[in-house]
Amino acid sequence: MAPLVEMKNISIAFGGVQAVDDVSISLEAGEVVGLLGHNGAGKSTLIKILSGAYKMDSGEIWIDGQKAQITSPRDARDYNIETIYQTLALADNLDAASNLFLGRELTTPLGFVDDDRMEAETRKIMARLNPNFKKLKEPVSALSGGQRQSVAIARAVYFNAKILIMDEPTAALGVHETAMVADLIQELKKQGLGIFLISHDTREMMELCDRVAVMKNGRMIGAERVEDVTEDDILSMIILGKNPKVAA
Amino acid sequence: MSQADSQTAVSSPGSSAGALDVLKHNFMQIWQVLAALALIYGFFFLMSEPFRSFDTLLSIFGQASILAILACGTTIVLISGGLDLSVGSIFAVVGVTVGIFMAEWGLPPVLAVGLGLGMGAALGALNGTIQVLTKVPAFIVTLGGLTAYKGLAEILASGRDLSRFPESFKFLGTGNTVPMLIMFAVALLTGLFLTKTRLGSRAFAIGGNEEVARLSGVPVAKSRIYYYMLGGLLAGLAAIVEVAKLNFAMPARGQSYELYAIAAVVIGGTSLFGGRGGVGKTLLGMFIMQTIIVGLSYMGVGTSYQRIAIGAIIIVAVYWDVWRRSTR
Repeated sequence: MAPLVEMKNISIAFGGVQAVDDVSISLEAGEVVGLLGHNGAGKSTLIKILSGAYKMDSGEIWIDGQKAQITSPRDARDYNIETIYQTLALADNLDAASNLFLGRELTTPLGFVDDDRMEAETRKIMARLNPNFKKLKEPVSALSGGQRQSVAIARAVYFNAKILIMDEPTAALGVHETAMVADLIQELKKQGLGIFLISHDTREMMELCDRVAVMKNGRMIGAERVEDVTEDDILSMIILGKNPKVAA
Repeated sequence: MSQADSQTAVSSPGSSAGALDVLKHNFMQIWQVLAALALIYGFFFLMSEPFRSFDTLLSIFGQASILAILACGTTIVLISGGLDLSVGSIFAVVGVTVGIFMAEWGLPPVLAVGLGLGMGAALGALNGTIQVLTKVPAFIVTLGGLTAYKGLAEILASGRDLSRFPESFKFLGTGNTVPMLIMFAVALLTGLFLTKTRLGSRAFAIGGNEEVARLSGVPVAKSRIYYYMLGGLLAGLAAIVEVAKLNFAMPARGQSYELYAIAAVVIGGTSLFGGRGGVGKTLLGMFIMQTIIVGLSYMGVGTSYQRIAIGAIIIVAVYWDVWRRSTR
């Protein structure tokens, strides 16, 4: 069977800087693939090509064995790709329901925005994801990091994402909230989602991911199953830009 | 409820929280502005004998109505994080064109009004389109529009006597009542647009964080063009009501209206920086401004001093907005 996602020979440059250079990576259904690397290694850029935020210069994206055309965030959505961005996750001035349904507002049969139903749906999904979540009517700027993150995750879950991209999902969270996100990732994985995870925390990635891929200077150094490598192997890939598995 | 900060006078009743909660929530959003209006009205009520009559109150509404119609459009544009300095000139163009349609071409009023509204919408849409295509800031594009459209209005009107319109047209400007009713109808529709339609409700997201809106799949550029188009349309409607009221059209009308509209919107509590506000607030802001103007006139204070007073209030209102944002 074809992989859920195949990104083949992806390249993109910004003003002469080759941000992503001929990178290929795949993702299976029910798999968590971690992307590691220094700041500026190209992980976020690669992932933003998949989520439609950037247009690649060259390369191909295949989804479920079909060649996909992704040139805008809307296109990505049509392929059931949902992204949880590190910083650009939510509109601070809107409440949870408005954020959850932004760009996909529920409407009444007459075509008017159905606030009541959106609020009810938000209440339902938040009860599942984060039972402590109570501030439904406040702008999300009034929420804690964990609560904000659960709104962002709710958006992906609600719309039945098949491919989930999480850019540093636990960066702003406390210990308890981080554990909650980890549980959620396992839950979504069981449901058959494919998840790309970006993080700096190598140990966390070893726990959460099935495979880790390391990038450096826009190039893919290697992608290995976590049981085949040690944390030191990963660190040396990040720092030296060499894959010890290949060298050995 | 959708936008936490959007509902004001135009509310969305029947939410699961109960209509009473919604009312309470809306009241909390605007009580400061209401209090300010009451204080200012009370002040002039005490200071000036003739100010106390019901006719004065009615004339405050009446005089506010034309600017308020235009300001409803300004509210939409400002909430979306935009700015349109050219609506006063669009006002002039539409006023003159509608005048030409009827006084020179003899078009029936209904057709003239329809074409005039279309003209306003087209000029507004042009502002939006230029911005979206060139990425030149709204301030510059619409500053260009301010002078260019003014010039267009002067060219169209030169050497023409645009007055003495049909009775059926003049009805639109009858007394204080008809413009006032049009104002409330426009405010109601604008409120519904902002809270109950996809396009309108997205103005809050675009004004709050354009990039988030874009990444969420909102067609930002297209939406912006629509907001400017509506701003132009409502400027056109305001011009039509004024021409009907005055029974003449001239290109000098509408001057500085964009600034008064922005002032009213900001005094009402809509953020100059986008993402927050509502049309009910704009009406309150407009009533505050008009009360001050009328009140000062009754006390014998000249128009030049009135301008200084309005200017000071604008600065206070924006300062308040900035202060509120920094404390959140």
